Amino acid sequence: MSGTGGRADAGDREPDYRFTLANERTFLAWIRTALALLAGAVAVLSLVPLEWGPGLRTSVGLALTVLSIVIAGLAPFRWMRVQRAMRRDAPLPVSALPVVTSIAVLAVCVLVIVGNLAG
Amino acid sequence: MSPPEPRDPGLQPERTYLAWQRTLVLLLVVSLLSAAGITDAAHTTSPVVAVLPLTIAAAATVVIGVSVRRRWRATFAQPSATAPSALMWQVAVLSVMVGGLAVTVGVAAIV
Repeated sequence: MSGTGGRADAGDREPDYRFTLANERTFLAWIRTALALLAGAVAVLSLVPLEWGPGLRTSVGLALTVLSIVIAGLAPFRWMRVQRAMRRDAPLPVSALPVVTSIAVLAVCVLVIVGNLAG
Repeated sequence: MSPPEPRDPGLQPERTYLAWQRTLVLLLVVSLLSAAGITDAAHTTSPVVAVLPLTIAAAATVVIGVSVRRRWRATFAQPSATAPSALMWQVAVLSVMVGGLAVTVGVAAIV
């Protein structure tokens, strides 16, 4: 997504504004992901009546809360690093966010299943 | 080879503005949910516990919303396709708000 690949000029310059805005919208999408996970955490912890044991409730709720914090914390750095890479016409950095989110959500799902089967 | 001139340069800034709106609305909704959850988890009837995160979230929403809208409207004046990037403080405040809400929810659940 360098957009200017092929151009010979070097040095820092603002990328095509569409990439800047796309990067920004990606940041906002990650923030919405963190917010949705937080909503899930609150639902599990307090709002939704569940037949789970208190241990399972708290661990699932806290796991979702921690994931929300991690995503909210990593998202702005991803945004900055991508913006910087676009300015320098450098390859886009790989973010840990997608892998971390996928694995964490998978782990929580497994926890929910196992917790309900065992409890 | 430069990218082709976009057909409607105003679309991307508008999409971005809409994305901000969606995000800020969701922030408000989740802060409401969190307030309810925190109040429930902390077993307190004190309204301060619920009102504080709500107030901060609402204030952040207004401040960020106004500045983002102003940035969007500023793109109307530019005939060429260009738009300024988000400001660092907008990004930082939004992330800190979400992280802060999450921390509060987590702490209320443990305590």
